[in-house]
Amino acid sequence: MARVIVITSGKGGVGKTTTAAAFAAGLAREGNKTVVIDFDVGLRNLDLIMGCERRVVFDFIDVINGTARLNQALIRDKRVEGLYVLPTSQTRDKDALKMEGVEQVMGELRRDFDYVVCDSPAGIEHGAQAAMYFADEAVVVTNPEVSSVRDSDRMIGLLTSKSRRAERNEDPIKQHVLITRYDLDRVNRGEMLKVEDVLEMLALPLLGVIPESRSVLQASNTGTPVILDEASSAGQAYRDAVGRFLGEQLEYRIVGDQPKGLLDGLFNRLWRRSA
Amino acid sequence: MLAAVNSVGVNRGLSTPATAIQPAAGEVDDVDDCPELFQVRGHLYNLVTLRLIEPEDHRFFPQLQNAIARAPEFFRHAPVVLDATAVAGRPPPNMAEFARRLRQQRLVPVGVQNGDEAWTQAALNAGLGLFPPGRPAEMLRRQDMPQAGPQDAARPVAQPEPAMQPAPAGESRVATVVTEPVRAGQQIHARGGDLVVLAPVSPGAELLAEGHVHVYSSLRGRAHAGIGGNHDARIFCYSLHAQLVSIAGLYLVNAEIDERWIGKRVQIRCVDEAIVMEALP
Repeated sequence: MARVIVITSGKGGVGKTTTAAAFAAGLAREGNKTVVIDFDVGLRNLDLIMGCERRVVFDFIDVINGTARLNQALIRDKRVEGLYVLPTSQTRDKDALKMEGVEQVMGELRRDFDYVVCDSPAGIEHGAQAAMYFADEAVVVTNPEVSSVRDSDRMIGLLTSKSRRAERNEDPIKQHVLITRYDLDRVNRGEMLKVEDVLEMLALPLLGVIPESRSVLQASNTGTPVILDEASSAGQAYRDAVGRFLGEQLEYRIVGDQPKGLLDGLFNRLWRRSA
Repeated sequence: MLAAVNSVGVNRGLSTPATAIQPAAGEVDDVDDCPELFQVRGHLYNLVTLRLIEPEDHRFFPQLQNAIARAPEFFRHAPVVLDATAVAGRPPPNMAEFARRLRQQRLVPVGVQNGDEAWTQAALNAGLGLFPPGRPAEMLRRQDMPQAGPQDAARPVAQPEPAMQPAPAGESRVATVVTEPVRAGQQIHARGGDLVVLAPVSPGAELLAEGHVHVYSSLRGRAHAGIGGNHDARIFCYSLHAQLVSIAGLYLVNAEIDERWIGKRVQIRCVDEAIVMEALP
């Protein structure tokens, strides 16, 4: 039975899809059969970020409506073994997410996969609620600035109270904070919130800190999850985050887009992931 | 039927009362320089509601008279809101005359609620206000209405305390304890007692209690204590960053809180119609 993870935030544009792609790729690389689903009906982006937009025939909504079978809609990633994408419709909207249909698809996916990663749309309305409803774990993506933190806080409240686990009085969704677009310079100048400030306000365990990085835009342009970019600091941070998610103890290395050599000596190369 | 109503209508956005006297041009040139002549405040009141069922029946006022006679102090000079829920489809009576007859019984009609267009217009024409639907407290049964006593006669304001308690008579006040963070968009209402929160309260969260509000952590949201009209209720917190605090309807927004209390361990109470802050020991 799979673990269902929702990547959500409340605020838009903080890095949910980037994170969902990186996370799913990261989990698959560790040998877990993983599917990543786009819940952003009508504004789909996951297929672009995953680089499979030219191979989409059927989508999530087709499967919900019964016009296609699940295996017809699933797209195998060409780079990572065991990684699949379930894209969504560009022409419909969130009302097309009928909960019975979503439940059925989730049920099928749970049986066949180790991890189901749900890329949530922004907001707190039906699309976001459908994405979070079946989750076992949640990664709340937050930028280190006040409006993102406030929206994340709202989302955390909803994750606690409006999920299927909450309705059935089961163990609550296990939630983590992932700070993204962290710019060390701006934090030092006082323009951005420090990690401690964000955690104080959200009161959740920290999964990782992903630095602001040019490589993220490059990754999205080339349709490659950034975690596959070996040279990227953001990619490295995502690898650490996936490692922590899977139970490894890893130090948080707060790096920026510095030219190599400047920070290598200062920062925690000593604490690279150990087996 | 009588029901006590918790009227929260004046909590926000109070406008200044319409002035009846218009000064002649040139008479009032120092309005901006003179000291503060009034303050706008929010306030929570308990008001008696008269729920109309058959207002046109010729036995209406005799029956009302009998009801009043059973607890005269309860009703004397009581501001009364007329609830038109049960009669909204029917044309209203002559409201001016109706109000006059209520005043004959020494009731003070102040407004109408839950009426339709016709009722609204009739109310306004008769100089009565319009009240929002409001939240009813427990229905008062006949035998629960307080007996006349010397203490009631001394009280000029029509707020008979014993009858107006939102918690049913005889029930002890039990505190509600919250141990998880209160998130943006969540509202916790501790019915009838105190609210104790042992985790942070986020901006955008709201705490309400008829009694005290205790936050043994940081308070960044809104806290309302004494919402049933209890002016003795207090707010306690370990780190004050509240967006708004209120006690029995008297409120202060964050911008009005003195700098020196922000982030501190604070006790907030109401003294003589003013919000007072003190350091926690």
